[in-house]
Amino acid sequence: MSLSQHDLFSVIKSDFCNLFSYKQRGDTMEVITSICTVTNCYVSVFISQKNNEYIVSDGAWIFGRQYENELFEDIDKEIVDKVTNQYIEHYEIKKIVHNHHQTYFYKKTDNIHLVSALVFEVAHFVAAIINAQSLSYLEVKEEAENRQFKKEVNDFFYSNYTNIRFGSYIADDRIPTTIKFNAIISTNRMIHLFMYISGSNLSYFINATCKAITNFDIMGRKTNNANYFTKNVIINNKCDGYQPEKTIDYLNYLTETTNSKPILYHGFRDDILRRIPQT
Amino acid sequence: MSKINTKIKENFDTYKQLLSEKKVLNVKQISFDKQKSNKNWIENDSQLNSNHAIKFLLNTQQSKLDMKDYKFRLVATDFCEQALARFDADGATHHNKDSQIPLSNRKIEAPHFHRFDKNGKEIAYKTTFLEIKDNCIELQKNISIGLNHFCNEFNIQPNQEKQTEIVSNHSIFPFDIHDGVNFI
Repeated sequence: MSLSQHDLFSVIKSDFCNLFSYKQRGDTMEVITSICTVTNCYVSVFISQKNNEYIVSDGAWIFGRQYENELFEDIDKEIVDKVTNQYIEHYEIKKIVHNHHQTYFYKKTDNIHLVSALVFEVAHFVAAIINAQSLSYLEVKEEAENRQFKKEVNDFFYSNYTNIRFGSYIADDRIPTTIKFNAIISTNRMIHLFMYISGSNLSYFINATCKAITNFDIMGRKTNNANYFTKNVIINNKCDGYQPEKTIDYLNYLTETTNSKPILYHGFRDDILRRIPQT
Repeated sequence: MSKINTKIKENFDTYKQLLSEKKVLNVKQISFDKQKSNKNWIENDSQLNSNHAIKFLLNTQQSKLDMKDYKFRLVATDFCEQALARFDADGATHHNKDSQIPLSNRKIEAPHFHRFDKNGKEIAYKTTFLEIKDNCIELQKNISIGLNHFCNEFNIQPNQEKQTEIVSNHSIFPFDIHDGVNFI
């Protein structure tokens, strides 16, 4: 079957336009646009009218992680924050935090003829931010090795301890904190905190070491080095970044900060079992 | 970025078996006892019993703001980190990116299921039940209907005669996403 250019264009236009739909959500309308993210979600924008003004927002869906957008590494967050600020400037987007936890990005107008333009801009802004958040800025090798090491250690923990959480905050009222640890083992009286250190080159390895030092240093200061928690580090001693002679100063300072020797995972992982009794 | 799940791709028969084999939800009550790192969501993990060596979990999540926005996830971390399948009662519309699917058929609005195809690609789909708009509205209003539908889809059976109860008493219905926000 062959179509004239005009008919083919009509098909394409129709297919594109038919992707648009809407849902009523109280007095606010969700418009599902044809714009798609790299997480394979169509961007929705939310429109309401108040005091003769039309508000077009992301519905707090970006920060609500409705687009399967997750940030995994601190290094990514720094980049994404820079990118986000530039998109905010480019699209002239406003931002408001409602009830402490709902962050809305929006534009508004009192001219009904401009609402479509606002939908266009906010939708492109949402896609740009979600895409920026969802790409990896680490080298492929680094990301793969980190994930593999994390999985290996987590599996080891999982098969030896029951009361363990991964990638979490400390759920203890005595220690209000925004710091996440790779693993946390809680017993009746003790909280055992773990950071993993790996790196596909020396620079990544040192960065990971510095992050562990900082996290444990903050914890120590917050709690006045209370005796109900322990600070532990597990090192991937098979990664390319593990070069003890070049990182000796960092590792010594790490030992000082944690009051314990880092555990070299390969060959010595049973030291964990000796240090932390199984429950 | 959406990525191929190589574990599922390379073990697709096992994956299908994990979805279809009988699993038993051995709890009388699901209560949201865990706060997610995303402060607007709460969750629960309930163990599922099966004859398989792999441990299954039913992970249930609900938005504190909008009670019709909830999820069920079938998790087996011994097999792979990502959930094997999930159900979204509300939220973003999924795009099934596949070079063989015409654009007009790629869009799957919530409520919908997610699972993986034989190439390890995550796809969204609607069951016949979910094609009917009134069913979707009822299911969004009542999380127990959603649980029942999820359990039917992946052969999860109740142990007791009584259906597992979900303790959920947050927020109002209907929820207006712009209500009360001061857009200055």
